[in-house]
Amino acid sequence: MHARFLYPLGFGILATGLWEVLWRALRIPLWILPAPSGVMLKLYSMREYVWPHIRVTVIEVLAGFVIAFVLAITIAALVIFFEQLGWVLLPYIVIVRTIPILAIAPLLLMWFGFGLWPKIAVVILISFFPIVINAIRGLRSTDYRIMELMDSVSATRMQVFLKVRTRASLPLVFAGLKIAITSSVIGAVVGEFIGADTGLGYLIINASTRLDTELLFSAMVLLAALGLSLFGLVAAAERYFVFWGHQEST
Amino acid sequence: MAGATGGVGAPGGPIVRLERVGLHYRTANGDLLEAVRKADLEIAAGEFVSLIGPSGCGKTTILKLISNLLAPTQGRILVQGEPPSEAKRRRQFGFVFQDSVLLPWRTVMENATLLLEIVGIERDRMTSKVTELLGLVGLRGFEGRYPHELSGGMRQRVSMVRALSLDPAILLMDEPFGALDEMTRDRMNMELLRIWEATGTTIVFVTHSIPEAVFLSQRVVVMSARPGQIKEIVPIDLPRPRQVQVKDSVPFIGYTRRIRDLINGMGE
Repeated sequence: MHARFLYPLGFGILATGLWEVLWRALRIPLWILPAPSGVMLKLYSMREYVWPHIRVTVIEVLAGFVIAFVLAITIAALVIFFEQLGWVLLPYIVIVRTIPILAIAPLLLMWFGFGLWPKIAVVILISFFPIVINAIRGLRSTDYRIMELMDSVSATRMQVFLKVRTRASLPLVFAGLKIAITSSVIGAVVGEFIGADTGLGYLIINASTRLDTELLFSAMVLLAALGLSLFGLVAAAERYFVFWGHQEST
Repeated sequence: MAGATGGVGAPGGPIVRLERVGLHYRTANGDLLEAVRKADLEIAAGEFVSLIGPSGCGKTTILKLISNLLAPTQGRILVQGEPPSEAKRRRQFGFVFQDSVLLPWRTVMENATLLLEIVGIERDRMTSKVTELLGLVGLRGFEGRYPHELSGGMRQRVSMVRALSLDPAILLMDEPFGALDEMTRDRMNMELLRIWEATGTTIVFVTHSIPEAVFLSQRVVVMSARPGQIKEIVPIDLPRPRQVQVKDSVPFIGYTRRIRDLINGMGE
């Protein structure tokens, strides 16, 4: 395996080992902090029970992320073609971003019911902003000399958009997507905190009311794994689509 | 090539004519700035002319005025006997910038055909046209490479192919080799002369390098700064085709010294 992966993995194993050793040496009570070994055993013994919760959270994250992505890219493209639309929308995009999710989450629950949709709505609210801001910046990030070239052959705005802007925007779009995908995981969990009977967020609430720290940490380990894998997928897509690296278009 | 024929409106006349051209513009804090003052210049079809001078002397501005990227505030400009906007509409201008400004996600071939795609040339003609030009600059075999896999000199060649792809009558080059090391630059100079001779294109060339200007040009336009104006036009009478050895000859050194004196004599 590549050192790029071995190093952080080694660090994780080392830190977990130290935690285990200290936990045993200091005789830390289980209700304050579980041992890594206990968490792993819990996770293993409850794998059947935990699985549907993982599934629900993954669905919420992916659905919200994809919808936010489509919405954000569409709006960013419209803003490129109709500058005034950007003037109108941008302040409201910022306002929506500053709304405390916890304040409107109960409303979302009332509007969308108890199922998946209020959680998906929270994910959209959280992940929309970094994508739209970076996509607008990316679509505008074209070298002025390329624009002069396009102008010298009387290219239409649509031609400039399709042949230059879309691809030129990718490095920044992916920067936004990387922030958005991790925020999406948080969004889904926050959505589940407000009112849910499945999902990893529900599992966390449930475990903490029962002081089941091993289950609590199990859920957090799963969330970490979920966040890491989704981030890895986005990063892999970035490497595939932005194969020329982040260097300037020289 | 098609674009290399003389002026449409004025057969036999200059391909580019600047008459008492001036450009004022207002800066962000409201000052009126004079970028170009009373520039008179005639460029013959097929000529190689260099613009040289200190930073801020309006060399690049002159290129932008000729190609209709800027409009003069005084005087008038004719390209092929018409306003530059007309020449632009007929796609008579090719551009080469200091860095190649290639699209990094496009291969050499795709970058070279970019402008042809925009114009809507059919694929077969596009490919054969660009393949011919890639051969001319020695890039055959690199069609499928991406810009980040090429050296600076090779990228600049692709950018030259892109500029020539539409057979422009006038090639406007803004310090095209300024970012290259000296040896690559010498080689590119030789290549450019070869391309110029092969295509018959008129070339207006902006540079900071006096030897480069003397080596390439038929005439060197020496400019001064603040306000940008044409100080003197120096005809270069050196044998053609030019060889690198000419740079060591007495007349060559005479020209470079004269132009250096002209530039230094007006700076301070």
